[in-house]
Amino acid sequence: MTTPSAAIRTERLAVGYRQGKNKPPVVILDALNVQLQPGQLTCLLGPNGAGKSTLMRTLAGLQAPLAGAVLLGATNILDESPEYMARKMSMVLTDRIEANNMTGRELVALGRTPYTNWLGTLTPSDQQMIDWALEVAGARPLARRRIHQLSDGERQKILIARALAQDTDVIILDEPTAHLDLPNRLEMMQLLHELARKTQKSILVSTHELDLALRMADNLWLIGPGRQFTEGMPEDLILSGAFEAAFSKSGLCFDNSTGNFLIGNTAITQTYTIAGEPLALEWTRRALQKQGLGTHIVTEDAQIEVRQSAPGVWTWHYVLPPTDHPTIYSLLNCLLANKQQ
Amino acid sequence: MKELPTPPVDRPMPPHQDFSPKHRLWFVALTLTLLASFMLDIMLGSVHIPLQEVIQIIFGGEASVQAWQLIVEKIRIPKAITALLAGSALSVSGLQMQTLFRNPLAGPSELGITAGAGLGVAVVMLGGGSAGVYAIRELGLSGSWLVIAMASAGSALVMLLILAIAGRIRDHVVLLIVGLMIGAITLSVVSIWQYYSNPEQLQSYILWTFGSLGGVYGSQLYVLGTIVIVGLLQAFSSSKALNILLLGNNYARTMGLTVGRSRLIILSGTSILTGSITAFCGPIGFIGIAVPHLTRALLGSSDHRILIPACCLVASILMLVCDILSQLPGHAAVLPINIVTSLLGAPVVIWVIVRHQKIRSTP
Repeated sequence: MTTPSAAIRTERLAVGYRQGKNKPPVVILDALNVQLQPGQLTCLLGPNGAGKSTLMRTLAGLQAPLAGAVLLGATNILDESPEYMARKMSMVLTDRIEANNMTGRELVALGRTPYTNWLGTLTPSDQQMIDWALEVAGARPLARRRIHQLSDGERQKILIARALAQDTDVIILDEPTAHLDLPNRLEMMQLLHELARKTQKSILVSTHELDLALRMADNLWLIGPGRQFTEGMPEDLILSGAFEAAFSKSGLCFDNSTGNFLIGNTAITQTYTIAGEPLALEWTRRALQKQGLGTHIVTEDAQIEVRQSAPGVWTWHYVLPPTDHPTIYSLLNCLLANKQQ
Repeated sequence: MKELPTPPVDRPMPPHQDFSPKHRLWFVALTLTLLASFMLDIMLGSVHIPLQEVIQIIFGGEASVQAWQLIVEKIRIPKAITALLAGSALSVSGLQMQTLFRNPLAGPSELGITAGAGLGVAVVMLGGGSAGVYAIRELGLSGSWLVIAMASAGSALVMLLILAIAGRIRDHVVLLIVGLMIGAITLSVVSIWQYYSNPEQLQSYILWTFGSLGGVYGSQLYVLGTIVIVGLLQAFSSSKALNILLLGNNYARTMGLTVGRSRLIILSGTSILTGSITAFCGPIGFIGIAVPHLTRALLGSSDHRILIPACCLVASILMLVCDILSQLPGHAAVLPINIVTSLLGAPVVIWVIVRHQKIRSTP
């Protein structure tokens, strides 16, 4: 399974934390053999408290593994000097940054630290690298702004630019999409995906965005219930049922065909046959789903039939008793009323 | 989706400077102000000495009044230089502590570090037995070193304690309270000790606690100057580490900093700066916490390569102004320097707390 081209890989890695001298260490994940490939975006998914941050910290050498090793080439990363590791791996953390007067550009410039002299003097090539990083991360307009005045999304971009300026083969990002609104989350994941592809960096991202991860990731690491670790291509993991298994506990039900989660908290009690316009069918299906009513699409003799009389004007015809409804709301009330009898 | 630009090969270098013209202007302005306040400090006092006489004396000439020559050379110049050293040392200590603890309210006197230095001084003064009135000043050269060493050790002790506690506390204000408590504990230990000391020792210790810039002469001034300059150079050479530490320990580590070692170096430098000044001048409050904030606000920078020299300038000016005010021009009476710095510095601390409250509450 191990490919020689992997940027970093783990060997029987066990991560967790030590509680004290007399207590046994708490193992969160055990016997991990994974790797990060160049040019690939890997997403680490798992519920809160599953150990995502611990794994990332261990991979970055911020925390010692309980067993096994993280290897860079053939050497254990803990045997490398911090200065050397800083040229190989950069991180975007969730830590709050409280440097009031610092501008975006100054923050990105700190990414050049492993390459500058004792006083941190920036050479022209450092400056070019900073410019490039700002541009790639889409953070150029933020360069002159003070970081405490930036929004969460803007700050995240600057932090990614800082990691890029560090010019490492591997970038590890701990929940970069947290606190972002939907358009920013999409943009962020798309940016990371593009970056991996175009710069041949290995990028590892922990996130809660399941559908974004499914769409953007080249590789998924899943931490499921019981801290079951699974990895593979998103598509493979869906087909093998591993994805569904990993998240079955959370009370959501995963729709294997769309890659979306359905709010499946109400069990399906009754199923109706339904026919009509595809768009109307889809939204009717969703509305019924919320009430625990299933739908089955047929071509004729449907119990519910949706017709469009004019653009935006729909009629839902129900057979028992035969009624016409102008809205899904009205249809649903009728269905629920009949169901209770 | 936009195209990603290729990594830089031969694009023109952008016009960007670490040390901007604005900063250059500030440094010139501050240096001129410093020169002016230095002169003013020497001119003013219980005896007013005209500017041209002062200039004449400084450049090796003879003053028209013999007494002026003596006053300027033996009293006012050493005092003004002590003011420069004290201001620079305390403000750079405060700056380093604010970065190290990532706490805007950190400062040598606020976190009990000067109290720790006071404990060290008390060990020498009260514990020495033989030491009498104005003990430190009567001590020889080796005695100066001893006081400095003990005061620095006392500072370092409290600093380590605070550092250990700071890891468990997130709230800035709470750490400040803990620092005040540790300061209180340290001072009570000294008070208990005072209770068993003889009146002469007690008097000299209490006089020391008022703080004074006068009284560092001759060889002691050289000792103090050497230590402060070494401490300041060490701080400046740590500016790269300090800049990275602004982002927190984790980021610093991922950028190749050996955090433990850097913290230890910064911590010992800070202890020596605070300890030596406190040993010779007594506890001087608020300069250490207030000047870094004033400097950051003036220059709009967070870069320690700029902030450290700028803090030295701002603090020196402020100390000289405090010294001028403490002499109550025209009067023979002199206020303890600690009182004047508190009057000027405490409002700055209140301003910082209010401002940070605002920053925190805005999303």
